[in-house]
Amino acid sequence: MHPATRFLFALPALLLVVLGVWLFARGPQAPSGPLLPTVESGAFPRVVELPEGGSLRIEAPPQRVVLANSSAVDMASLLLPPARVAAIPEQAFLFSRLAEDPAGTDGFRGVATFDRFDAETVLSFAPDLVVCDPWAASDTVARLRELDVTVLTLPKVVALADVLESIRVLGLVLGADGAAEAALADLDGRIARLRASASARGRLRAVTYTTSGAGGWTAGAGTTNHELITLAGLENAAAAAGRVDHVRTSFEELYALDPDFVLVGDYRSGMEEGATKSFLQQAPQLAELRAVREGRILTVPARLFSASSQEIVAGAEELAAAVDLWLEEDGS
Amino acid sequence: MRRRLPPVPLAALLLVLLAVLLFLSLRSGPLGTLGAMDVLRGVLAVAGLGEPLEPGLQGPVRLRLFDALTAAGVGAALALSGGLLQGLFRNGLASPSMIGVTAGAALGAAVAIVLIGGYGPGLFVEQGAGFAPVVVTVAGFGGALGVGFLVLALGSSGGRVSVPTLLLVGIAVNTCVAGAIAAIQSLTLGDDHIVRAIMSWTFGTLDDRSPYHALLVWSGVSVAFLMLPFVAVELDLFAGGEHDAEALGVRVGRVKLLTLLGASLAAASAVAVAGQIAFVGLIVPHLVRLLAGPAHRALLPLSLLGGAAFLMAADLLQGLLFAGTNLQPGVLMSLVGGPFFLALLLRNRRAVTGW
Amino acid sequence: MVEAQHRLVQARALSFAYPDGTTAVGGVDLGVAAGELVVLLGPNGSGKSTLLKLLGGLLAPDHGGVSLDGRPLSSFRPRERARRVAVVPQDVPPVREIRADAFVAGGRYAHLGFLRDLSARDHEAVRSALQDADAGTLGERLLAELSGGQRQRVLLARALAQEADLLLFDEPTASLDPDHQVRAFARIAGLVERGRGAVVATHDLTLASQFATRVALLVAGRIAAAGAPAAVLRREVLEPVYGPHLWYGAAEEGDGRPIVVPWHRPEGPGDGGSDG
Repeated sequence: MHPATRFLFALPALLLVVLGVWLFARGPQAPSGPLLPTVESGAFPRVVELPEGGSLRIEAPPQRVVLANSSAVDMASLLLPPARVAAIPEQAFLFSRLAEDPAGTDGFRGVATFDRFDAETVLSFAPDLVVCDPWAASDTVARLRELDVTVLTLPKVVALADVLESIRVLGLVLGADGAAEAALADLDGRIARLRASASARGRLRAVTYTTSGAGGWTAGAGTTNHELITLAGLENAAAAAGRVDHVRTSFEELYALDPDFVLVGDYRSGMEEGATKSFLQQAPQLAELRAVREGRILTVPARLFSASSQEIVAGAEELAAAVDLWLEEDGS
Repeated sequence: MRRRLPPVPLAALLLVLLAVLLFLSLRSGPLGTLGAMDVLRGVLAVAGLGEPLEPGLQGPVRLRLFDALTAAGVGAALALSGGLLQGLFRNGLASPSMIGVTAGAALGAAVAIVLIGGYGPGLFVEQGAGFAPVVVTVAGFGGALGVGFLVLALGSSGGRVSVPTLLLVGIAVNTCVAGAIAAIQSLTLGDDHIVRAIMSWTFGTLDDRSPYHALLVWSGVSVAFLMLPFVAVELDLFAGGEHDAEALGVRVGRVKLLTLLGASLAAASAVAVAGQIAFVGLIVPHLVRLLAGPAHRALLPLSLLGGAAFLMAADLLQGLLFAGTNLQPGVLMSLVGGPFFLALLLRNRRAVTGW
Repeated sequence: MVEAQHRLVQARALSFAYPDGTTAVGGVDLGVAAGELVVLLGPNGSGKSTLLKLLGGLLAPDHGGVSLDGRPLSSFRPRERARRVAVVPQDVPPVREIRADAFVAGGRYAHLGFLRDLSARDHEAVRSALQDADAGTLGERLLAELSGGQRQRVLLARALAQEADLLLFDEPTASLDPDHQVRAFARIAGLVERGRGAVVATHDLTLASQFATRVALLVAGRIAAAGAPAAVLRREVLEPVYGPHLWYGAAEEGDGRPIVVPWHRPEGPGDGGSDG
């Protein structure tokens, strides 16, 4: 073997040793500094206790916030002026309240956007806070934290209570305590109004149905769809039948559930009705399903159908209104 | 007779190319372009030699460095694995993904993830998940090795490898493994941690890698590389079949075992840090063979270097052409790799119809 | 019989059955001394190739054993064995891009140390092996470019580079024209004269007659006849094995060794009988 070839053999080992020595010399990462007493409002710096454990130290009200997901945009846009938002994902204009509330969110049109969520892209907006949902790439979050970027990971939203908790925490972290309280009070009012009017719809049963052509899915208990249905004062027939999470469902199961309404998300916002709805109307096997026969397929805009933010409430309001309209026409 | 390049100058050339690619990878990104001196000082600072640059410059160097080192390591691992498998199966169409070794690694990892209930949110960093990455990586290695042996056992008889059988066995095993992964995914849809962990193993990314990713993949490459002195010359002698090699004094069983171990380990560590990336393990050994000839003593180390350069270049190119999009190098590789494989088949059509 | 002579390799009661149970080799005793060229004859499927693999240590016998210089072949480490025994296959592997000298250098594997490249002595061994096999001019050619006779010489050269003292050939002349067949056997005989032992499996009865020191006729895995060519290559011995389609004669030159060639006899007794 040629001596130089032998050197080649040593190459990866050498790299490995260098990396290893460096990692060893670096030692374990020290935990963050001493904790300040938790401050509920007012003063900065403050330490905010997070609902899923741990805490976040905030030095001053963040002025350059990067919102990583549509649900973060939904909630933060209630609390922050656009001037304090450094960047939002492009898809927020399709799947957050920015899509359909231009009057209330006009200022966000000018905010910088990104498509790819990676550490360097995020850093290029020089953020002093990044807000993301628990689905954001964990490696990216880890790199950002290593580079001393403050990252708030919102709790996983399954129920309405998670949304309210998220808004409260977000208010504390953003230094928008007042705005958060106002938003929560507004939500409380809307939720109370929905619940008050629920009795008229209480006996009606609904299921969600989603298909992209390869089998259908429905939402059982423990989903935001379930929350949306129950908040609108309907019963989630799938959950009542013991379904949990998003599960596959067959035509036969749909017949067995025999819902009064089938809820579909409209994923072609602003255009003709969504693919799932036309599928339901046209599939000959479903022609005898009561909700289909009687034309009780309700379309919920995609951004509300898939919301994991306060927009669940907006979705429930739209749904309740649509059901009420049906009841009126039925009665007349 | 085809002209060949001598291996040592070729290796030197590749090392220079690697250095250039590393520099280019570190130089620019969404955070802007750095000067050559800043890049150099930044790298030295990451290695603990010298003062760090100002935070606005040191941060990007750090991010880009481990992305680049991981990309290089993954490319090296896949190409080395491909070179070993092509030698073992005596066929230039063998590659970690064709044999099913990468899918096997993903399956092993998925099984481990389900058994230990998730991977922990911070893949390698969070202290709570301290042992999980090790367990999952080891399981991935086990899966890769299992599939490798299965294909070797089913695809050869009496020491002879039949190419059509091998290809068909590869397809069948890949299908089974993909089915098993899909089954695990469907059965665990309710558990976010598990779903996300499995997703990250099956699809993967070269973004935002940590020192641990780089260390893990280069460890795999190094251990696989340690096999080479025991198998490189021997694989050349495999050309005439296993009995012929044995007659020349080769310990055939040991060579097969070590080769498969090395190939599986390299492929598994690549999958562990970046998910399944096709094509690198197929094309790089192929190109190196065209340049430097079929002797494994040159082919395998050169494939390692070439694979590192290849994936780094692909990553760089992807950053230039599709900046800001979510298109990952793995996807890009599959898009280019399929047609390349077809071209390879068509070019050798006469040989193929004779199989 | 050469019982008294020192046996290089000695097989005793050698048996081997395929996994499905059919016997390939059953109870074979065979010895080869240095300076002996033993030709293995036998119809297709009589077990010649299997016997060669058993003698070369590439298959482990079910019963009996092979000893090399009185020591069990199974106790040799692979490289140690390859320095003593070379197995020459019928044809080179279909690897297009390998140069003949690199291929021949494969024979030096058994002499190489761990991580050692070919030494000057190895290169010299390759060169002289090519020379001795009349392949001195082929070293720089690619295997794919060689004719059948040239490939045969390169294979022989690789076995010579192994510097083994027992050479096992599996039908070395199967794909050669008559001239090259004779040359190949003469070359092997020349090597044997210089002190090696060789076993050659072939179907060519006349070449066996001319070049063999001893002939062994293998039928259904057993040795049906063995001895000097003149003793075995007779109609009484061969006809029960090969059938009637052979022509028997004797060479006019030298010591008048038998000549046996395929010859169709349309009116011969038992025509259309055994075709095995």
